[in-house]
Parts: sequence; C-alpha cells; structure tokens
Amino acid sequence: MVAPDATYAALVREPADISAVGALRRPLVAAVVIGSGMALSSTQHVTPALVLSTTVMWSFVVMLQVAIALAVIPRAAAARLGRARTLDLFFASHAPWSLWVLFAAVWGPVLTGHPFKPLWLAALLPIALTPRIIAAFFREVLGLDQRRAAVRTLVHQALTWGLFVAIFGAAVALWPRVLQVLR
Amino acid sequence: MSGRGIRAAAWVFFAAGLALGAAGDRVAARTPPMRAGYVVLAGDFHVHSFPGDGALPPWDIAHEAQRRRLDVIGLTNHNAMYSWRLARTLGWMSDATGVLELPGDEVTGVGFHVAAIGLDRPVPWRGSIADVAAAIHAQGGVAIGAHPVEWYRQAFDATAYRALDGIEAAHPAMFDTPTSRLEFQEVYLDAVAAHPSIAAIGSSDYHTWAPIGVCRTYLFLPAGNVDGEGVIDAIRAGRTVACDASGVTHGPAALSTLVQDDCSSDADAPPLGEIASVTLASNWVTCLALVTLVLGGILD
Repeated sequence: MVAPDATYAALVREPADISAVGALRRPLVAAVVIGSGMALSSTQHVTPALVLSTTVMWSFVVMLQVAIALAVIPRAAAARLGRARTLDLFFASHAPWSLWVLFAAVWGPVLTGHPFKPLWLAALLPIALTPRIIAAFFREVLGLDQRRAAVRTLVHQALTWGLFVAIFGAAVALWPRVLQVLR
Repeated sequence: MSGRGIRAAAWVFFAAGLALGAAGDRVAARTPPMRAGYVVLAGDFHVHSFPGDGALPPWDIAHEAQRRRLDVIGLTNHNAMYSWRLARTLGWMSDATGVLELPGDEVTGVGFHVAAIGLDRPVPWRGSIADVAAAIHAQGGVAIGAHPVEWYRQAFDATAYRALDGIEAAHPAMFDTPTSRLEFQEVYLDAVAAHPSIAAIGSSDYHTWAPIGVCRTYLFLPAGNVDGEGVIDAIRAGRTVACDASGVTHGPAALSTLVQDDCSSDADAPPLGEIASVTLASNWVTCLALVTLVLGGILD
C-alpha cells in the first residue's frame, strides 16, 4: 500500500497461471470483508448465516468494481498476463478500503460510544492511497506510460465515485434534500 | 509458512470465528409482558434496510430485532419499499423469529421526514406534512413525525401535529448535543398541546452501528388483537410510550409508569441469549483473520 509500484512489480514477476475461478480470490476476499463488516457494525456479532447473507447482498459492490475494472483496463494490455490474472492483481488495490471497512466495524461509533470523526478522518487514507495503487497497477502490471496510467486512474475514480453518489443518492433520497438546501 | 499456507490458516480462523459467533448466539422466543390488561409489545418504527441505506436485509433485521428484545418493527427506507418487496418476493419474511415486520417508508420531503407504517406502496413526498399524512391514512397506515428537531423543526407546526398519528419523542439524535434532549422534550410537549392523543414514539433510526431498538416504543394492545392491525390501532389511539437509550420514558404518565422498569432494564440489557465473552472472542478472531487475508492479498 505504501510502495505500490514495487509491490506490483514483484507480483507481476511471480509466475501465476490462474483460471477464471482463481481470479475470484481477491474479489472474494473483498466481498467477504464487506459482508463481515456490515454484519459486525450492524449487530456487533457474526454468525455463518448472517455473514453469508450480508456477503451475498453486498457483493453487488464488488461486482460493480469488477465491471468498472473491465471497462478501464485496455484489452490489449490485459492480454500480457491474461484477463483473469489482471483482474486478480487489480483487486489488490482494494486493500486500503477493506482495512477501513474492518476498522469501521470495530470502531463502531454508537450514540454513547466512539465519535464518528476518526472514522471519516481514517477514510482519507484509502481515498488518497487507492488512486496511487491503481495508477501503479496500470504502470507496472499493464505497462502503460505515466500519462495513460494517470488518465485511466482518473476515469476509474470518476466512474467509481459517480456510481457511489448515484446509488447512495437514490438510497437516501438525495433530491428532496438538495431542494431543502436550495430553499 | 508460505503465503498460500498463511491464507489457508486465515480462512480456517475466519470459519472458526463464525462458528464461535453462532455458539454465542442463542436467542430464544420472547413472551411480551402484560400490563394493566394489555399485551405490551416493544417496537421500533424507524428502521432502514438493504436494499436502501440500511446495512441488513429484512430477514437479518428480524433476527437482530429478536436479539434486541423487539416484537415489532417498521421498515422505513427513504421514499422506497424495495427491501420489503425483496423479502416478500423471496418469501423470507420474519415468521421464524416471531418479530412482526410492517411495511412502510420514511417519506423524505423538502424540510421534513415522516415515518409511514402500514403501507402498500411508497407515498408521494411532495407537499406538506398534512398532505403526506393524508396520503398515508388513505392507505390505512399511520404517520409518525421523524426526528422533528434542528433544521426539520420548523416544518412541524400545530397543523402538522394534528395531521400526524405519532411523533418521535425518543431518537438517538437526542444524545447529539447537551441541548438535543431538551429540544425533543419541547417538541413533544408542543405536539401534545396541539394533538393530545398523539402517540409518543421511540425509534432507533437504524442504519448500522447504533443497535436497533436503542430507542424504542412500548405499545399497549388488547390481548385478542396482537397483530399488525393491533399495532396500527395502538399508534392511532396513542397507546404508546417512548423509551430512550438512557432508560427514560416519554409519553402519557399513566402508561409510562407501567413500563418504566421495562425501559430501564431494556436500555442496559445485552442482546437476548448472547454469551458476551464468546461473541467478543468470535469478533476478534474473525477480524484478525480478515486482516490477514487482506494483507496476504497484497503480498500474494
């Protein structure tokens, strides 16, 4: 996370001929982390049934991330390592947000407990680190030059945050709130 | 140990954490108490669920509600009822837990929110609180003024209170600042002045983190009418008491006296059937296993 170029360079050097199923390893970890985080933060406990349910329900987040990744990864560049291995390595970039999800679940800001502010401050780390890691992915894994890697990273982040705002906005009924502010 | 070995061990620990969690979760059926000839149900009528801005789908919320000693909940996503429809389509309703789940939404208008319980379809959000309440009543539901404080307060006037069936007198926001609790009390007194039988409602506004039922409502139901209709009738008739997270009741004095002890004990009670030490161990084992899996993913 701190030195993404070196890490990705090392990962690319490792011989790995993985199948489509093997490519699901890191996305699966991301989905399980999100599912477990939701279960822990909402109930302060975990059980197999609860985590299975939350993981399946929230796996749409990972599926969207896969879709965005497939959209921004150039096909020709992905052919270097194979699409499955490329996707697998891409999901290494999820680590900062995965750790934040776990921190949020453990921190558990409840009304008589911990305050929210450290949680939002901690979110600055994945917000800052993830674009760096994704840019390193484009450079080291796909072999893109500095400028093209930066553009692809920008597109990735725009798509990710745009989708987040659209989904979150629909969930919280953002439009009446905007009207309220404007009034 | 190789990276593959570490990851395999982490998955084993993750599974062990979940198994421990199941061992520490021995929730049993709850029998609602009787007070003054009424069956007293504990309810939470401001609950967000998945898909929506809540973390859990309705079937998991029902289980969590059972753990938190609730008998009835209202599903209230913002201007939407997708989670209710999803649960109904899948046939995964709350029958197994015994918790009554009522369909509704949180009508999110311009300058106010109203929790609507007992709906068939979402209520249009444009218009005044009185318009929204009329649309809710047209479906046979009840309208509850949601967190009527701070910037929402100005929309709650005497006309609004008369149109509503209930008002949130206890809500987690009452612990936000030193004056928040006072503002909730003022609003409740204003509401009672305009509409003497308005129901005092305690709600958790559950999304995630703050436990469901952390603020709750006690409803007084006739013994032969313990169902969704009975709950709606109790709110409509104002036979309710709100209970806040510090164990203080809000509502008609005659009814509040009957459930003061329940409110005090529910505020401090751990989840029903939970073995705290086992749950704590389960949570830590699970989290550490997941951190190992995440970091192992970086290092391959």
